[in-house]
Amino acid sequence: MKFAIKAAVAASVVLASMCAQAEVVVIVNPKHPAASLTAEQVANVYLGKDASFAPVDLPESAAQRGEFYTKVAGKDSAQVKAIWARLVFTGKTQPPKEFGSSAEAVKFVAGNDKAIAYVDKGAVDGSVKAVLTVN
Amino acid sequence: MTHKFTILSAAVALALGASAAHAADFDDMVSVRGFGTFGVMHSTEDRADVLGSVFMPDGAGYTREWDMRSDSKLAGQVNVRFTDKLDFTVQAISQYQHDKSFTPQIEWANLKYSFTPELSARVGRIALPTFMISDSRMVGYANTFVRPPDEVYQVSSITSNDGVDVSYGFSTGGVKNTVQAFYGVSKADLAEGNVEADSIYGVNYLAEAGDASFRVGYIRMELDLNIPSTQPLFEGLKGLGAMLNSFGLTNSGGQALALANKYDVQDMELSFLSVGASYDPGNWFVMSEAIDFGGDDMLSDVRAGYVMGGARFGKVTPYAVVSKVKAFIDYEDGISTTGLPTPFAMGADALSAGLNQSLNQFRGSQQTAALGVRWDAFTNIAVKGQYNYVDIGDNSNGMLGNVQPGFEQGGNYSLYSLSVDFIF
Repeated sequence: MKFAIKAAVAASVVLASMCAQAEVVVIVNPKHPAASLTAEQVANVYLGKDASFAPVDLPESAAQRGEFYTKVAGKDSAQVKAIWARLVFTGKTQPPKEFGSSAEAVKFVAGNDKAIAYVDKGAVDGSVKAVLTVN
Repeated sequence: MTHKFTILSAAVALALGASAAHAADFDDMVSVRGFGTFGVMHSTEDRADVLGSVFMPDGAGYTREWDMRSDSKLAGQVNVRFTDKLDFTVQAISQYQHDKSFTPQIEWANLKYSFTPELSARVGRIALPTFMISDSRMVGYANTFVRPPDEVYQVSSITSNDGVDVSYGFSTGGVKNTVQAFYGVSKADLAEGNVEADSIYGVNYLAEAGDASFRVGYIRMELDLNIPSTQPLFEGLKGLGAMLNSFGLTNSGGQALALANKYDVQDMELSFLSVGASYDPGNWFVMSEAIDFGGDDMLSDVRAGYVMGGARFGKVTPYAVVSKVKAFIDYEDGISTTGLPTPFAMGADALSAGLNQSLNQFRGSQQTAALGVRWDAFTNIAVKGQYNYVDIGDNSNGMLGNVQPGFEQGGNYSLYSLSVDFIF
């Protein structure tokens, strides 16, 4: 019986952590004045319409990337690429800087006043400020 | 040409120098990217060519049954970020040229200074922002269609401008506004001769709110068309006019001189008014532009527009485009032959016919209905197929070039296009 409870607890912890892993949050540097941002504000940054932030991307293979763009910007990966191709080849702006993992993105945002990133919720710590939960 | 390559080599040398000095900072400071298209076209009109632009000497139809030159291009771009405020952009593009080569040209080479995130200025060679997607008209990957509708985009094929521009962005209640003002000069070679704009100036306003955008732009320019083949026409009109006057045939003589003056292709004062809008919520999109071109001399007034729409099903995006251009070409009765001796009358008729032919050659009317599909086949690679049904205006060559004997004005033809667009 005890074992069954333990197993159930363990299973729920695993499940919870799996759910948490799928959860994506948008983070900025703690020095940034905004307490929260709307999905539209964040979408503007990631679609090149707002140059006041320095956005960060995760690799195309990262599940968080697809989830972020679909839910926040309403666009899939190919559409986002076409939009950036338009912006980049006009010299208007540079595409988001790409980091290999959520942990690296958090580290960059912690050290850069203008940075913004979408990361796995589990990677967020006190060095950055969460401004939007993607769901 | 030499100085163009000097700019590029300087940029490359700078980039390499920066690389040697600060290898770690290099990625942050310099980015090198490129884009390209491999395209093939087939036209069912074999007595004239569908041209990729007026700067191309030939194209699909008469010259080549299967044309792989008009749409194909390869471009490289280097961005150097000196500081947060100062950027340098150079873009070189290799595409089919007036001289039948693919010699790379410097499309852009400019320094951008951002005074604030809202206010920036550029100096150097910049894109001439005539249309809504002027900036990306060559970047096939950035666009849904194989190429922007010729009816609108070929009304002005000048793509770059040597000068300055200033952009200011501001937000008003959820709407992002951008105002851009620019001034410059431009020169481009044609298959024969060249086109030279001495002063180009204009202003654009862009409003973006969520998935919707709206744009209005106005440009004025002073243009010289230096085309050797038009010289005999003007010399002929002037010569005949002077001769008729000297014989006392001042009615016809005056007409010939007046026509030479009226249709001179120097110092033409041209204007473009353009309005465009797009709405793209993600799964589907619509986009439309309309232009009102104010012509002068040999270039008549033109009105043109298109509407396009499509839907996205994962990686597959079917779309449809309807576009139309209407040229308001003067028909000249020409020189009156009443009372002229036969040799003079024959000369006068030939010049009158030549004049009307030139008027038709410079501007055309046509409409197109197109269906296509874009397939985002692989990362950074899109494959597109497009079918155009083109209906040429009455008494017009449409937008066709290299018109051959046997061509029938006012007809129709089909254009099949396939392209592979990529970025790297």
